[in-house]
Amino acid sequence: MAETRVERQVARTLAKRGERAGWTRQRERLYVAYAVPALLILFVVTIVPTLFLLGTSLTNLNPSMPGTLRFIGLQNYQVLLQQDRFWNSIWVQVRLSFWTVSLQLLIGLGIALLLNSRLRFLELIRSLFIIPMVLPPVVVAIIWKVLFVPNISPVSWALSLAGIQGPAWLVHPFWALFAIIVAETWEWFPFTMLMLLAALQMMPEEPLEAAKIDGASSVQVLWHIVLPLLKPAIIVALLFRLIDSVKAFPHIYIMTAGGPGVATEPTNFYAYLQAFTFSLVGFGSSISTIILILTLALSLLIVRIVGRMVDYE
Amino acid sequence: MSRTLTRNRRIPSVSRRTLLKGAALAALPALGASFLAPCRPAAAQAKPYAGRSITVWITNHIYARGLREILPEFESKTGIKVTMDLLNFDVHNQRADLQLSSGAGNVDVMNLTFIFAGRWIGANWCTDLTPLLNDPKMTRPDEVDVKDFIAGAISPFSRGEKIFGLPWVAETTMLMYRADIFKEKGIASPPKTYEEMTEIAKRIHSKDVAGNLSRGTNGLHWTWPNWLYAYGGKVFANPPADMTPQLNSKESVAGTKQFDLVSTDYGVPGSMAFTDSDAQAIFNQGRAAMMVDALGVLSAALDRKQSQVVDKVSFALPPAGPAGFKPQIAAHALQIPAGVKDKGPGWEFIKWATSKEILRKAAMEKSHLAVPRASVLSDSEYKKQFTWGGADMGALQTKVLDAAGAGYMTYRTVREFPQVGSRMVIALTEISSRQKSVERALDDLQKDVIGIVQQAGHKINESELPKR
Repeated sequence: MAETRVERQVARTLAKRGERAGWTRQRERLYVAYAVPALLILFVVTIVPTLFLLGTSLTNLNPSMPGTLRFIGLQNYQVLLQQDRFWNSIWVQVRLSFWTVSLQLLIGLGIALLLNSRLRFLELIRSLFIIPMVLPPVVVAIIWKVLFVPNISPVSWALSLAGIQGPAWLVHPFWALFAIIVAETWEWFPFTMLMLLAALQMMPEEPLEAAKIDGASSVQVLWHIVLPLLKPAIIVALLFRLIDSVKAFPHIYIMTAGGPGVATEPTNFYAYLQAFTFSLVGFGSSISTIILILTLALSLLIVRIVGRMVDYE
Repeated sequence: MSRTLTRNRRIPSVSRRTLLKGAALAALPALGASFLAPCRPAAAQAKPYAGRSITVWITNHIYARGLREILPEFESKTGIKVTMDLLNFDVHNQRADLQLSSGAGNVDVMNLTFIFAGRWIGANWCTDLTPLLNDPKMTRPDEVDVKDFIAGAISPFSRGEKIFGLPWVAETTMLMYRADIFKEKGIASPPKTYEEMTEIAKRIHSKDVAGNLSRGTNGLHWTWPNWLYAYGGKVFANPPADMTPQLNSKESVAGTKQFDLVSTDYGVPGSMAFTDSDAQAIFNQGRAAMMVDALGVLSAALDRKQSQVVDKVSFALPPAGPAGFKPQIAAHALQIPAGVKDKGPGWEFIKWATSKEILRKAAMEKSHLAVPRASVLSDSEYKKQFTWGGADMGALQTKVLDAAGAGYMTYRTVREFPQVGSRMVIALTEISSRQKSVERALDDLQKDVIGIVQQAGHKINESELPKR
């Protein structure tokens, strides 16, 4: 029986579709084949340690006491949540993050605005501002520790010239936290400065010129044009610095070791002491798990806010 | 080509058989020696570990710095190459704790720190040195005279007959004072009691020179107990049998108030954040008139290269309190971590570093006064050299060691002490920074230490809890 012309056309189309479907499947398989090794490595280096952390936090593991790897359920968390020291560490972290991130953004933005020019001299100055960021944090901490030790402190000496007796910076609960905030801000404001400066230099000229032609003052241009256009960069810098602020460690370790008392002891330092100084690995893991949950929640919150606020179109 | 060369140079031809015979004859002595070598004691061989390398971790102390200078002596004597890391006390302990817990054996010799002795030995992280001591192949009979170590210095590292470390220092607390300032102010003698000490500090204290200097950070759990015990306070009821904390008793409150007064009100501003080297630098600059601390810390003032007060200081026994004279002692030793597979080279180093000869040298040439060997402390040369500002240092140390030998120091070698000591530092800095009153800080300390000892599996004896 001879095929009609229409039947032949339908057969051709179906064959093509089959070929295409087969090709799509092959392509998908290839993608999976390429992605699986990377996903496996990612799983091993991120998910497995996290699962190990969660598992350990449910035990009383203490390597200095053989035979302590015993499942104790949520006991570590119960003890932890009843501790004033733990809640104090959260409060220290909140204050530390708030002040360091705010100051880094404000100073970084201010200097980025001042340096937003293509003058050769300003480019040189810009390089100088980057120095604190490229120094190892331990070096920064030692520099600031020396600056704040009363008998040799140039800060106290400068104050004494003005007739003011400087406090014993690192042993006063308020000034010790202040000293760490200063050191942390000094080291990391160049990061926000660089990000915002890059955004400023990418900014379109037209809206600025239009505003100036319309008679807007510099403050009005800054407030109504520059800052709204910088918002995405500011939020990204905020996100980076906020997440990084939770990791603040070397400055605290060198300058105050969490003291006086526990006035400068944030949660990560508390976890470190428990896990590594006292070998309470199970208990330390429970603190780390809480830090992980809080950081994840904070990141998700910020990403959602950023999603709402930033119009990438 | 080769044949031509041989012919031209007239090299005598040697048959293959002759060559083999000659080689066999030449190898015979070497072969014999290699068979005989294992039969000879390692100690008897001149350099049984020649060519080996070892790593040593030790705390940064006047003794360790001196030892590093004379390392070439050891290296040429044994052929062992030594990498010696001098670490800050806290850094060493933290690294050592991690290293030991991992079971790694890449550090051959390590400090066995007094306050960690209970924990590290209890966890089987340290090598029992007794088999090495008793093995004539490893140790000559006259090589380590264990009985020469002061009993209080070696007992923290012994468990029954087993010895886990050989001590290199027996720290004793002392009072160091500026004799020139005392004279200038008309103060006839060093204080005998802590009240007197506070009075003298008050008299001297000025903007330029503080009445007293107390080391801060982790040094606080070493200095504060001098006052605590002298006032009748205690850390635990009867350690290790009864670990009930006693930290908020009325005696403890009284001692702490006196300590805070002399350390904060008449102390160097900011000293609660000072490490031992910070404190040494400040005292050496002449900024304080008195200091109660370990002799190893104080003796930095006798280093002419660094100190401006070498000829102005003198020493005395630490003052007493209402409960009597209760100075503190601490010894540190050298140990071989359990994870080290070949313990021979490390053992050679320990024998050398803690020998009478080297410890005497460290004392006489480097002012390492706190030597743990009785033979050095009673040496007439030592006595002659270290009668400082009229104070016979050897005699002072012996008095402190005798007093502290009464048994109240056991609180420091229990497994839980590092954690408790760290919590003490928090309480003391809360007091000095006026975040809490003495009573409240000690109540909180007591509460937390109860938690720590319970977490470690101890029972609290309710009847032993202090009542104020």
